[in-house]
Amino acid sequence: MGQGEVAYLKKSFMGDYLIMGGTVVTGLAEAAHLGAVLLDWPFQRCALVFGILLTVAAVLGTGLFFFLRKKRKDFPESHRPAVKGTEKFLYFTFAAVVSSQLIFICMGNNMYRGGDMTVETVGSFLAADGVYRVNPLTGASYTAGIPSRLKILCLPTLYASLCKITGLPASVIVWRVIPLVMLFLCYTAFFCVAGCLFPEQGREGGIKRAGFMLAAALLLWTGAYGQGMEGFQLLCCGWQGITIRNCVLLPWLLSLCLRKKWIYAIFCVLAEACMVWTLYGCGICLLFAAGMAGAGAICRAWSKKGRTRA
Amino acid sequence: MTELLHNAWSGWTSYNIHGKLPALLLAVLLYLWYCGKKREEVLLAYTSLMAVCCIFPVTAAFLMLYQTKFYNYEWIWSLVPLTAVTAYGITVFMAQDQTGGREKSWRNRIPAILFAAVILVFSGSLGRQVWDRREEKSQREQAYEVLEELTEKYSPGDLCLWAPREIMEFAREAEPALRLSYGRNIWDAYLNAYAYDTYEEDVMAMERWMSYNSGTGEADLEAQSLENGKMGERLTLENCAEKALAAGVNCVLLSGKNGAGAVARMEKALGVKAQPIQNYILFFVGEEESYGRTD
Repeated sequence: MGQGEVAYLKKSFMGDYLIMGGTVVTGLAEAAHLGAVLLDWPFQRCALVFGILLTVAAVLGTGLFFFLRKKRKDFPESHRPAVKGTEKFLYFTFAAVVSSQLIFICMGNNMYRGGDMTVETVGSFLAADGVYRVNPLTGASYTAGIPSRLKILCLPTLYASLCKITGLPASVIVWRVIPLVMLFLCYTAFFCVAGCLFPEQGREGGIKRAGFMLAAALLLWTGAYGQGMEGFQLLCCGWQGITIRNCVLLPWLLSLCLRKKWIYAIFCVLAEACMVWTLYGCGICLLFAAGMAGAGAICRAWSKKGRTRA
Repeated sequence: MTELLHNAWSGWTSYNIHGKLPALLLAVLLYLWYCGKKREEVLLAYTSLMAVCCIFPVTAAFLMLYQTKFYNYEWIWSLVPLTAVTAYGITVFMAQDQTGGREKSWRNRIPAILFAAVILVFSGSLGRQVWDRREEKSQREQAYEVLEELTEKYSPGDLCLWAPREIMEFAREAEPALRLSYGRNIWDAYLNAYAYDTYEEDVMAMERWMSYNSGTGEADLEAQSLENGKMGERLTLENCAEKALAAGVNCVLLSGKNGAGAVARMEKALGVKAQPIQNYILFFVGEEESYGRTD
């Protein structure tokens, strides 16, 4: 690997800041949600608290963004060389494939709701003006309650707060707006992976990165055939916590592990714990990061052994 | 543990029934290990190890324990960066074709592109749908129309509805203020994991009767053997109406398939007059004037 490539990998990508912003929003939603669960706030107050936290975070984040842009030399470049030739053709095809996915999501008849009750949950928060005051599936009070590990997951509060702030119905926020945001964040994460796998500068690197993005987009279409596949999750269940983990957090985490930016992995682990049922907070992100660190250590030991023998 | 092992054993087979992307990943890993492109050997080592752990039943069972029993076998594959590594392999394959000295023209790369495209197409489900989207769409539209008419007539916050499955399925997403005698977790068992609540036998009997009635238009359901091996009671329209009133139901929708005899029996059992609403028959138990909406 050349010095230019090493320097390129040391930099943070623009995608890093975007996804990190997403995890911060999840954290804020979790704070508001815990307030509502533990202090029995009315949902109106919960949404207000989330709105205030979001506004403060947005102001601070924007300020920090411009401050870092001015001060730090390793900040992502905003002026990239123009793409042309093969790279341009590949990106054009990639854009066409992504557009078809956008249309697929916007059509709104392709959401798979088997085993999922997010829209009912969001609707019940808004209708009952409280978090888990009634059973979302019947509208009646709980007789035996819900698992506490499930009760602290924040996505329904995040979506219900967005409904309250924007005035849009739960079905529009959950089945259209959020999957579109997740599609965007998923490709942002894959751009980070492409940057790590093909850090070569110049025309060759650009073509490879564009080819990787096109292949990923086609694979997501191909994988839209069943539960557990990233394509299916992204295109048919884009609002679920497990989708956000698999299609946004894990590809981003992969890029972080490849760049050895271990400290940022904490964001992924915490974000997963806020939106997916994990084993006391130990989720897939933690095991993934540990696995990548372990594989790195084994590979280093293996190559050291090889060099010693030679 | 035995159940977990069994799930892990059968999981890999069912995971590959509808598509072959995991098989494509294994092919890509073999290609990347043997074509000498080992620059990303950490990623390849991790992916290969995790893929083997997900396929081998004993390790798969441990991974299923780790991810909690809330999730099924297919979710342990979240640990394998399937899309990223497959896309990486495809890109390396395409790039290898064009390097090695002088760059080849697009025409020379067409066979490789076609080969990759064919492999990708055949790795998917070839157009097979996971569920019937059109059917669900038309059911949803019909249910929304019925529920809209119902909630225009009565305040949804005051209603407790008992209706055929195709209405109950979409009732709470269409109108969150509406109360139901039972939710869709009765037929979508996975949803039971979200609460400790269970239904009483009377409510289960109401669901069985309504399912039978909306399918056949028959008013009485003969005794059937239940899932627990016991013999269920004979369910008549009258005793189900009684169970519904006891469960707090004040709004009953029956399928339009019911004949005049069944409608008359339900009117007598609930003590109210039937009203037509779209393709259904509505029975509202309560004071019409006090529930009528003025807005």
